[in-house]
Formats: sequence, structure tokens, C-alpha cells
Amino acid sequence: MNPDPETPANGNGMETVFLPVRIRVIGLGGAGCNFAEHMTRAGLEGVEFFAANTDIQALRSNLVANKIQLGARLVRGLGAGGDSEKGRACAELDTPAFKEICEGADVVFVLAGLGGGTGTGAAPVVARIAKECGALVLAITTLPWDFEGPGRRRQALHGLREVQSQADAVISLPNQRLFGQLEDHLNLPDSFARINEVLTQGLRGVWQMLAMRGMVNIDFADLRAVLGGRHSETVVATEGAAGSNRALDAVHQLLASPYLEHGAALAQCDRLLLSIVGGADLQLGEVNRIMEHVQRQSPEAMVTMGAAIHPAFAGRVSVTILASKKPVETPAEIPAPPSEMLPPTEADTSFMKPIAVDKVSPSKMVPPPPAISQEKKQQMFAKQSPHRRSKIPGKKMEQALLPLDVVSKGRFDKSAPNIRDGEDLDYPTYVRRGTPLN
Amino acid sequence: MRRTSSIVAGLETGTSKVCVTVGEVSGDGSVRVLGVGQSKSRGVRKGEIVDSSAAAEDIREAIVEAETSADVEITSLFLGVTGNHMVGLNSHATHPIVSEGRVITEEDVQEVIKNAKIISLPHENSVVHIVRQHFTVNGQSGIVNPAGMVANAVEADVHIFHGNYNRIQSAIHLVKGLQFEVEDVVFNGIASSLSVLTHEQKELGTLVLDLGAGCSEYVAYSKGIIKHSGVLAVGGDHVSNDLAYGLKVPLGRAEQLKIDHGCAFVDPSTHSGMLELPSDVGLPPRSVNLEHLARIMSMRLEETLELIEQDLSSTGVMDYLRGGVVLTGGASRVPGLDTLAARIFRMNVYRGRPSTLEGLPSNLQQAEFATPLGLLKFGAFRMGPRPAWAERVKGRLKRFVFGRA
Repeated sequence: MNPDPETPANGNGMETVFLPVRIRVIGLGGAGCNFAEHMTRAGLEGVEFFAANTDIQALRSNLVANKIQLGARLVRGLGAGGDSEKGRACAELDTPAFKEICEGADVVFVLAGLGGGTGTGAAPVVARIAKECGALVLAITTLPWDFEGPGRRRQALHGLREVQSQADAVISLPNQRLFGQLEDHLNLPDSFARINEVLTQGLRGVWQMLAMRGMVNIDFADLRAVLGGRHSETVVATEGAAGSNRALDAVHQLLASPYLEHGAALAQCDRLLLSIVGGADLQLGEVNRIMEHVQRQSPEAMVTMGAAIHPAFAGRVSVTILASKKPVETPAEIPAPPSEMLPPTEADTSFMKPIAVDKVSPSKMVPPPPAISQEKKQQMFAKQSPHRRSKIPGKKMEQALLPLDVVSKGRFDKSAPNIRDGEDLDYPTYVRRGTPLN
Repeated sequence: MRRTSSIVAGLETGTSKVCVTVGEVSGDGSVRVLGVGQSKSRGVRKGEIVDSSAAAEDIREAIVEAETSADVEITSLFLGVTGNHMVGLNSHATHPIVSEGRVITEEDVQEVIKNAKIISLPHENSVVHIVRQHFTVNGQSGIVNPAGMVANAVEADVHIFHGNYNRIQSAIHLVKGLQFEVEDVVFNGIASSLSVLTHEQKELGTLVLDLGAGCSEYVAYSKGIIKHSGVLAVGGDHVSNDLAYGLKVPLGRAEQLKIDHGCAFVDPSTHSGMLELPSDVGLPPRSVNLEHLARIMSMRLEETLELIEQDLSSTGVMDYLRGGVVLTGGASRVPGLDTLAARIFRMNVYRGRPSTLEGLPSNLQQAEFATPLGLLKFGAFRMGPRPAWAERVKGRLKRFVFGRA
């Protein structure tokens, strides 16, 4: 945790750099737009920022220069209301706008706070569009706090898996992990600013690698080689230190960093990009010491190293690690958004999902719907609004279900819960991980 | 019926079965198994007793069966305990030597161990075991017996097991209510490791992973001493429960499906298509998807092993385990589990059986008897066959637990 305002990347101590890579950053949803806004202030030159939200009010107050209102026709600027399906539909509607942004970009960062409606729903869609445009897609996401409840958490985890199956790499920061790091008395705006800072660090780390011309250079091709097409979870951390023992200090700070899961993430990763930036006094011995430590931590990883000299870093050294974990085994399992999920044309029927008549058998994805027969559903719906049915002929309307917690613990219903990392292990694993059985 | 002081008995109140073992400690301190009694357990969930009247009945049944098969009368038992509340941790303590000549006496050794026991336990917990790892004298570590050495201070490293006092006491109370004495309570993980591991494996550094029905216990040995231990209250019962939920079958049938078709991997060649289930009385015939079965099982088993691996990695003991991992316990019989574990732990994985006891009939050399047989072994080291041997056995126990047999 180093919200160090002096980080030389702030632009003040640094000459203009020539960035050969076109980087675009797209913030999605409330949290994503806030991240983007915060990052614009980090002084990352040559990076273009965009903010996209369904909520017009939040979007107006955002300071990012380029704004996109999502799903204007669908939600009329009122937000997605925590429904990720709606968020996805809005993003699908605005595909052309995203295509335009991503056209010609080399790296696209997708920022989103997972768990809500717009960010969770739109992030996979935008990641897919950017991928289709040929960019390297890195998603930077947060997962909700535990206190936001299991429903939101589940939505977030499902969103994360979907983003993972589309983006080249996902840098995901569970907010809860910062809980121990933030002081209890810290006020809400400061806490959120701290999270923003953490994510900015991730972006800055990558930016620094690409922007600085090094003695041992890391370029876009290296980044692509490490991350491209792997659909893996990725961690980024930057730490700097000064003084006589700076190399070891920097490494120890890195290994203690919560973003690297206190060093545990390094052991799990199999590809690693490491960039060392120092002043003209950077010694070979220091580089060696840093590399030795990192390699001891992750013996299996293929390490790509870069070293750059910059006058602004005189007397200190800054180490950035970008580690890509072993890829998820079956990212292809997450189905691409089915076409029938496309938003209905009527704005005020958007809460209902049309389903094809022949596709009566519901997916075996849990939680199962309550036992109501199709006839009963139709009856209920007919009672509600008989005239609307005729508008979409040939389709049955299914009333949207509240996300009730209907998973039972079976044999362990009455026993003490088995909580580990906020998860109750008594629930079937495949349910908690949201794996569909089909 | 014979009744001699050299009879030792162990009781494990497991989640799937209550098992009582009876053995006879011979003159040289080794134990010979005389009989075993079992009954299906109905009052235990996740290793802890939830229905004491059902559990008492099961225990009585198992003890009677064991007494009949061994033809002895059991008066006292070694009771195996486990559960989510059990924790193992390492502790360290120092004791200054103030006596004339600064020679370490046996009292000093006891004192330093007592000091090591003073740790900040949660107030509801109490210490179950305290196992010596080694002593440090004059800056030299790895000393097994410091008594008789000259030093300013003696330091001790110990491994402490502690658990919820009331829960352990309620298990003891239950057994006492049946008019049996409880000689000692033993952590199930230690018992399993005693019956499964050889001396060489303990020296080399081995993890014993006892996957039971309700709980998974693990104990890591290195250089003959216990380095780390823990309990995860997830076991074979969870696999069955997941299957019952996911495949929408009754729990008993899920259990049978697990035994007949269980697998730690999703293998498309064998796990495809549907399996027809014979119809129950009054129920229509059902079919279940074999791939779903394998997927549900593999995810649960993978998660369980991963959680244990995470715990071991975070404490850094993985590097000491040159002897690999030994799987035991009833839930370890799932085909392919060794391959899965080898992938997750990134080391050699063996299936362990309680083979370190003498004269064991082959039908008892099964993974699910690791804990009850280990209790006998623990008991054998606790109870000397004759008082004159007490000192010798005490030394033997010490050496056994600390790996210097």
C-alpha cells in the first residue's frame, strides 16, 4: 500500500515520454467511472480515458473527458439497478460506440467494480468487443466487500469468470482484502480513494513498463507474450525504496504487498514480467539481488525482466511485478452471451426476459426456479398485463425472479456453518463457483 | 473373559462409523490387535457429536462388538477427538537454569515445557496435546534430551493441539456415562499418523492427510517431529451431500453412487452418458448424468485439497515434505484422488494403510481404520505393560512421538 504522491510517474519529475503503444482506458459503471476519473489525475501520458455508465446523473458529474451514456434507449439514463443482465443488454446496444473506441488501440483497459449492474454486465461485453478489434485486453476489477452480501458477491464472481473468459488478463482486487490494511477510523471517501489508488498502481505499473525505454527493454510484444490469450488472473504491484539497502527493501515490500497476496501469488504464477527502474546509480548487484529473490519465490515461472534508467529515480529503485497465474482450465465453458438475451425493443418491458417457446427446459444452473407451472406463469402474467403479450408474438414471457437463496445445505442444514474466507464450505463447491451443469 | 492391565482400547466416534479397537500390549511395548467393533454412526456431524443419545447407543454397540470379538472386558478407552475447533500450533519457551553448576535437570525440562504451554488460547479452549519438537541449549538447536547438559538456559519448541474445552468434555462425558473410563483424548490426526507412517517417512518429512467422512485432518512431520497440523471440517460426507443436492437423489443413494462411480477427475471417456438407477419403492426410475457426478465430486475434492495446500503453503512446511503426502481415511479411497493430490501438492502422493501394527489381519489394513488403530498404538505407548517398564516405555513414547525410536 503505497499511495505515494511522489511517485515519479506523476509527470512532474519527468520529461514527456513517447509512448509507442496506444492505450485506452474504459471505466464501466459507477465504480469503473470513478476509477477512470481517479486515474486521469495520475498523469499517465499518452493514455486516453473513457467513462461509460447507464446512470446519466453519475456520468455528468464525472470529470473524464470522453463519456458514453449506455443504453439510453433501454434505461433512459436511470442506471441498471444492480441487474447485470440489464447492464449487459445496455452494453450490447452500444456496441458501435465501443467499437469506435477500441479501433486501433493496442492495449485496452476495462475498469469495473464487479457486483453491481452496469459494471458486471458490461465488462465482459466490452472486453469481447475490444478483443475483436485486435487489442490486448486487460480488465482491472474489484470484488465487493463481504458486507455487501452473498447475492452481490455471487453476481460479482460470475461476472469475474465471464470477464476472465473474454479478456486476456484480469487484475482483480477483492475489496475485502484491503480491510485489514485500512484503518478502521478512515472515513469513507478516503477509503475509496485508497482503493482507487491501488487500482491506479496496477495501471501505472503497466504504463511504466511500456513507456520507459530501458537498458533491458520491455515492450508491448513482451506484454503480449506474457498475457495474450491466457484468460488468466493477473496481479500487479509496484514498490519503491531508497537508501543503501533499497533493492532488498523494495523486494521485501513487494512480497509483503497485499496485491501479491503477501507473496503467495508469485508461487502460483507461471509467467512473470518484472521491471526495475532506477537512477543512473542502479547497480548490477542490486538487479541480481532482486531477481534472485523473485525467482526463489516463483521457481516455476518464466520471468521476463526489464531494467530502465531514469533521472527522476536517482537514489531510489522502483520494482514492478506483473504476474500471470496459471490459466483457468476451461475458460471456454462460459458460454458467449446467447443472442436471445438481446434487449427487447420496448424500454418498459426490459425487466422481462423473452424465452423461446421450444426452449422450455430451464438450464440446470442453480438456484432452481420455484415450482410454478408454465401455465400458472402465463396466467399470472396475463393477469398483470394482457395487452402486452400480443406485442411480441411467438414468445413466452417469463417473470424475472428475485435472487432468493434457495440452495439448501442438506445434511448440514442444522450444523454450525463452516466459514472459510467468507464462504460457507457446507454448500456444494460447484454452486459456490457458479459452475453450470448442462 | 480375561481382564489384564495390558489391554488397551481405542474409540473413534467418526462421522460415518463408530469404531472400537482392542489390543494387547506385549512385553516389548508393541501392540497386537485382538478385536474390532463397529457400528454405523448416527449422532455425529463433521466429527462432532450432535445427538448424544444416538451417539451413546452407537458407542455402546461398537464396544460390545469389540469385547465379544476380542473376548476381553474393556474398562477404559483412548478417545479420538477431532472437529473444526481443533487447532495445532507451534510454541517456543525459555527457562533459565539457576541451580548450582547450571546442570539441566528433568524438572527444568518439565518447567520449560510448562512455559511453552502458556500461550494465548481463546478462553473457551484447552490444550489437548503438547508434543515436544526439540530443545535449544547454548544456542545449539535440535537437542532431543537436554537433561544433564550444562547451560544458562534451556529453550523448547513444542507443538500444541488445543480445542474447545466443552466440546471435548462432552465427548468424554458421553463415554463416562456408559461407565467406561477415558484414559486420554487423542487428536485423530496424530493417531492416524502413528498407524500409517514409518519411522523413515517421519524423518524424511511426510504429510499425513486423513480424509474422513466429516473432517479432514492433516499432520506434517519433518525430521521426526510434528511441524504442522490442522483440521478442515470437510470430508466424504460433503461429497455425498453435494451429489445428493446436485443430482437430486436421496443422501443414501448419493453415498452409494459415490462409492460405485466416484472419481476425482472428469474423464470424458468413462464419465459420459446417463446412468439408470433402479427405482425405489413407489418411485419412478431415474437416471443421472455421470459427467455431472464426476464434476460435482471433482470440484469438491479439488477444493478440499486446495484449502489444505494453501494452509500448508502459508506456513512454509511444503518445502520440508520430501517424503511426499500419504492419503488415508475412508474418503481417500476415491479413484484418482492420488493423482489429483499429486497435482495440487506438486509432490509424490501415496495411499497409506495402517501397516505399522503387528499381526494385523488384512481386512483391518484399510485406510478407514487408520485412526482407531493409531489410537491403540498411542495407548500402547501410554500404558506400560508392567510398572517396572514404565520408565522404558515413557522413553519409548517420547522417542516415538519425537521420532527417535
